[in-house]
Amino acid sequence: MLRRTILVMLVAAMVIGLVASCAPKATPTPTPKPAEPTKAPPTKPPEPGKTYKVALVISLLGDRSFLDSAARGIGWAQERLANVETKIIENADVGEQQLAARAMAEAGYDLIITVGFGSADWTSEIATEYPDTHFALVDATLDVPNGTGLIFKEHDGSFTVGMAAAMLTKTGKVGFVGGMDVPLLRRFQEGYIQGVKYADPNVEVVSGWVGAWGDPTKGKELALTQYEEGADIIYAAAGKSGEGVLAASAEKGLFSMGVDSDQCYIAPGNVICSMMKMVDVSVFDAIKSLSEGTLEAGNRVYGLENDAVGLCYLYDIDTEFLDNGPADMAAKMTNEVIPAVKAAVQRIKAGEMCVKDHMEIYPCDNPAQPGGMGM
Amino acid sequence: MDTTVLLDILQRYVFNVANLQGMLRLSTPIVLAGLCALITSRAGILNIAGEGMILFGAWFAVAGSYFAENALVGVAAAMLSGAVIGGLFALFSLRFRAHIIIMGIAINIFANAATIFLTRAVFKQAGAFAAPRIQGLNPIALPIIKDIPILGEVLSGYSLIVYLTWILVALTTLFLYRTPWGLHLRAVGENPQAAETLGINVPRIRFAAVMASGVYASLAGVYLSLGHLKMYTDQMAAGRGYIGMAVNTFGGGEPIGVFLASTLFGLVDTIGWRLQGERIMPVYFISMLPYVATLVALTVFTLRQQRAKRAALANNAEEE
Repeated sequence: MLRRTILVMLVAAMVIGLVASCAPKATPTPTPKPAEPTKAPPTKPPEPGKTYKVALVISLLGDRSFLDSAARGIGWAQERLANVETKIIENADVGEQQLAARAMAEAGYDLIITVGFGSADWTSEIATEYPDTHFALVDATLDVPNGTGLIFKEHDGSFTVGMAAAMLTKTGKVGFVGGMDVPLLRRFQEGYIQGVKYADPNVEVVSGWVGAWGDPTKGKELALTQYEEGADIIYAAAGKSGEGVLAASAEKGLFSMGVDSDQCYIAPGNVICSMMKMVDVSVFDAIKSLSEGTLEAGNRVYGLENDAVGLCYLYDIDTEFLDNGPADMAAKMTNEVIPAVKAAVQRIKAGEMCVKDHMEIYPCDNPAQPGGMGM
Repeated sequence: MDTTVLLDILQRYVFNVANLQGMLRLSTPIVLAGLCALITSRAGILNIAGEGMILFGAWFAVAGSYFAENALVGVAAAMLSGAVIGGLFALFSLRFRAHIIIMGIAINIFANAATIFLTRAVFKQAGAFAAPRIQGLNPIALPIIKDIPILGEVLSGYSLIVYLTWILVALTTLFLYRTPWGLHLRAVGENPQAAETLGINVPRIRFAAVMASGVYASLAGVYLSLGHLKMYTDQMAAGRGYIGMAVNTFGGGEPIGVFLASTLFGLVDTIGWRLQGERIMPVYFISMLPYVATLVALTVFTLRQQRAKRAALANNAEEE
C-alpha cells in the first residue's frame, strides 16, 4: 500500500514537472530560457532581457472573494509587466499544492506565491530547500531569507465597515458571520465590533461561525437565524459560505456586507459594501518589485495607511448600493457614513487612535473608544 | 442552573419557530442523503457514492433550470442524472465486479472534478454560478395548514423538495413493508442466497436499488442548489453524502429513523448558532453531539446483534 502511494506520488510529481517544463513555451517572449548563473540573490538589479517567471499556487478559484483577488493580481502582472510571465496552479488539496510549489521551484521559477495562513509552515519549509527561488505568502509572515510575507490589517478594514453597519442599522442590532473560529477571523470580528461600538456603543453585535468555508447552505441558514434575532445588517467573512449570507439578505430584503473583493454586484441593493482586502495589489506589488530587482525578504504590511484595506467607498470601488439600495440609506451613506469613516481613517493614519488586533501582531496603545465618534 | 433558567433556555434556543424552521430546512438534504444510503444498505450494498451523486444533482438542477428557465426542468434533469450515475455505479460495481468501495470513491472524486470542469466549460465561470435566468423552487404555502397558529408557521412555507422529502419518507416505508418489491429488497439485503433460491432476481433488485439511491441523492442536490440558494457552488454537497450514511446507521435503517436522526443533525446546527453569541457552552461541543450519538447508536446496535446471535447459538445448543 505504502509502496503504491509513493509510486503514485512519484508519477504525479513527474507529470506536474512535465507540464511545468512545457508550459512556458506559450508566451511570446523570444528569449530562450536563460542559462542562469548559479545564484540569484533577491536584491540584485534586474537583468536586461531576463523574463521573470512567477507561479501562484492556490486552492480552487471562484470564491468571488479572497482567492480570486490573488489571481487578479497575477492577471495584472501578466498584462502590465513586459518582462514577467505568470502561471496559476489551482489545487484543492494542500498536499498537491506543496508538490506543485516544489515542482515550480525545480523548474526554475523566480517567484512562487502561496496563499493562506495554513500554508505558512510548508511554504517556509520549501523555501529553505530552494534558496535560489523567492517565495511570497499571502496572509502570514515568512521568516526565511528568500521569503516575503504579504500581511493585512484586516482589523482596521473591518473597523471601517463596522462603523458603516452601526450608522445604517435601523434595528440597533448587526451581525457577523465568520467562516471558522480561527485567530485570523477573530481579527475580522473584533475589528468589526470595535468599529460598531466606536460609531454607536448602543448597537448590539451578534456573531456566528459557519464552521466551513465552502458551505453556502449553512451560511444562509446562519444569516437567517441572525436576521430572525433582529439584526438587519450582516458582515460576512466566510469565503464561499458567505455567498449564502448575501443570498439570505436578498431573500429577506435586508442587508449584508461582503469581504475581500468587491461583492456588491452579487446582490445589488442588498449588499451595502465590501471590506476590501487588496490581495491583488499586494501580489502585483510583489511581482513588480521582482521585475525591478527590488524584492526583499521580510514582511510587507498592507493597511489603511497604504490604501489596501477598508470600506470599498474609501476607494470609490463599488457604488451599486447608492443606485440600487433604499434611497434613505443610500443618502445616509453618501452624506454621513462616508465622511465619518474618512475622518476615522484620518485619525487612525495620524496615530490618534488604533484598532486592537486579536492576534496582537500590531501593537495598539490608544484603542478607539466606544462612542469615540461622538454622535 | 435551576429549572426555570433551563426552561427559558430551551424555549429561547430550541423550541422557537425560527429554529424549528431552520432545523427542517437544514435536515432536508440530510434526510434525502440518508434515504439514498438506506435504500442501498437494505439491499445489502454499501454505497458511499452519495456525496458525488448529490453534487451531480445540484449541478444538473442548475443547468436544467438555467437552459429551460424552468425549475421543474431542473428537477427532472437532476433526477435523470441521479439515475444515470446510479446506473453507471451499479453497472461497474455489480455487473463488472469492481470493488464497491473503490467504485464509490471513484464516483465521488469524478463528480467533484467533473462538476468543477462542467461549470467552467459550460457556464464560463469558476467556483460559483449564479444567474438571473436560474429559476429557483419558490416557497409554497400549504393551504389550510398555514392558517393553524404556530404549527402552520413550522410546517408551511418551504420549497417543493421539503414536502417531497416528507412524502418520500412515508412512501419509502410503505414500499419496504407493504409491497412485494420491498419484501424482495429486504430479502436480498438480509440473505441473498436464500432470496435467490426463492427465485428473486438478486442482481436486478440491487441494480434498481442503486439507481433509486441516485435519484434520492440527486434530490438532495436539487434542494441545495435550487430549493435553498438558486446557485451552484463547487463542492456544495459539503459532506452531506457521508452524513447521510451516519444518519442511516443512527436511524436503524428505517425511513422514519432517518428522518428523526436528520432533524437532530439540523437542530444541533441551529441551536449551535444561537448559543454562539451567548457563550453558554463551546459551540464545537454541540456540533459534536450528533456524531457521538451515531457512534453510541452503532455500538449499541452491534452489541445487541451480537447478544442476539449468541443467544440463538445457545438455544440451538440446548435443543440438540
